Amino acid sequence: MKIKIVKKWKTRDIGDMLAAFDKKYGTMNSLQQKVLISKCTSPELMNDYVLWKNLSQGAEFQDIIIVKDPDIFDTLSPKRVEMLEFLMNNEVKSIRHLSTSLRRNYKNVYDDLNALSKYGLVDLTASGRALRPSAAASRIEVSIDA
Amino acid sequence: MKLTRQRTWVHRNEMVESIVLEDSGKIKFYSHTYLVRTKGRSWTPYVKWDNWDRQPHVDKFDGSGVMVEQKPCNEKSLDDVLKLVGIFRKNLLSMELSQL
Repeated sequence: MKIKIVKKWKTRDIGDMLAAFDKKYGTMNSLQQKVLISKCTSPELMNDYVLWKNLSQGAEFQDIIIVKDPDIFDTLSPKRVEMLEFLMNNEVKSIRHLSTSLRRNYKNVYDDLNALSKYGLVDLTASGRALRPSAAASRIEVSIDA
Repeated sequence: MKLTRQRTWVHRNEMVESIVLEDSGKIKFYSHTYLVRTKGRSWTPYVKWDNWDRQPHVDKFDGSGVMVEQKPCNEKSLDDVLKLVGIFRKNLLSMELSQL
């Protein structure tokens, strides 16, 4: 059994990713030099370079997460699935905002978000002093392979 | 151009991260890395298959992220890599690169 999570990438999200590369490496040329010097011994540098170069040239981007680990079914409790559905359909400003909207205890919501984020199901973005949760997936499929 | 990033969780703390760049249906670049999450919660590469510079090869790391060996190999699809990882998993570190 596997779960396929298709992550949504808006133009703004891709812009944020490119800005993050800019902040992390300075220029694309300096990253290219690092990749060449290291002779592609660092998967992170190489993958970041390929992503940065091609996304900045307008390549179509598809981001998929496949979970074959059966432990994910422990993570996907009914309350967490309900939270995920809420986040897929609503925008919230903070974890507090989410807990109020769901009428649930703040700590339980926080713990559930952390559990979901481990598999990349939710993103927690810093927004001022708060963390803003959002659904990372636009589609989640569960399938059983023969 | 189509860029696909796929992260496949094969176990609780083990993942294959793949980046594939396609142009008109042809794969121009691929990189498939088997990573293990360490106690510090960071991801450490164990084995990587890629075709950087159009040279398909496999890299083996030492368990702390330092590359120790690199050998040419046949082109590997993500399915090939997932099959290998599914069979050998953590034993990949002690295997001969020629077997991969």
